[in-house]
Amino acid sequence: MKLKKDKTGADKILSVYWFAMLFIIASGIFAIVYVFYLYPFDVREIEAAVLTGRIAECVSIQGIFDSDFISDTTGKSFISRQCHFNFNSEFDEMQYYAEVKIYDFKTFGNLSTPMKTIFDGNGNLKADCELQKSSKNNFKTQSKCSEKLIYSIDDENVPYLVKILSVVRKTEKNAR
Amino acid sequence: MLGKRGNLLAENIIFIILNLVFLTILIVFVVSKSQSPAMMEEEMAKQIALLIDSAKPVTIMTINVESALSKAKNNNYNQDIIFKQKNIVTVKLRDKGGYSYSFFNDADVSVFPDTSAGEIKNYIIAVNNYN
Repeated sequence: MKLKKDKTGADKILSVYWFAMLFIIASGIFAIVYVFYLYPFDVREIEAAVLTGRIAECVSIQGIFDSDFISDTTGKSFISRQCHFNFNSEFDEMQYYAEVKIYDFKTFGNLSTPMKTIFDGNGNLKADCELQKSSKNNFKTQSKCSEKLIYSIDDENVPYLVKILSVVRKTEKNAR
Repeated sequence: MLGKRGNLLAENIIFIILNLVFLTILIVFVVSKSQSPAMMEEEMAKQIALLIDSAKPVTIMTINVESALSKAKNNNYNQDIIFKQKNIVTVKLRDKGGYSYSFFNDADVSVFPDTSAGEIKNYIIAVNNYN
């Protein structure tokens, strides 16, 4: 009889532990779900990659280098005009930066200087890329960068290497 | 002896019911969080902006918005759920809310509901010629 009484007591203690365990698991799941949905979806890397791709298609139209990129003397907003971009956004400050560096294919090396550099957008954002490259950390609150090196020939068969850099900020909408 | 058996049964039933209640609350919380109108607005606005950015002129895209429309209906919102101002696309599924995201493609973009099938199930995003 005494044994039975103890068993009932043990069952009750077990159920208290069971609920404590359930409570801990539930709190964990609540916390994970809450933290997961607290942060916005970060699409800046995809956006920067799309921008780089669009610039690549614009610099090299079906594999033929657009020589306007070399002959242009108009300056700053050439990329957005030539490639049909509108860098205005819901923010007051410009949230994009695009840079095209054109190299002579025959003399290209790690230290070679570009034949021409064209840029457009907010030049301050470029520093974020340099910082992320040097520290190799993924800073969520900094701009996202996408870089691409493409080979292209012009209509006179002159080969070029084109280095494209795109940067997207929009931190307030993509990171917390 | 019988009384004790009855007690045991009742305890077990209460135990199982409480466990089920616990699990139900958990599942309801996860589902409600994952399908909240705010989440859906953000997800759709960003997806549409990226689609427009990637599209070349002339491209016509159709996106299914049935779940978004039912969410808007639940929130007593019966106006356009997707609209565009300049180069900013906005998704709005409730009166007090909405999410906007900009796109960089400088094309003439139009967004409108697909009314060809009678009831609106899709929205059409047309990326026309460059501005």
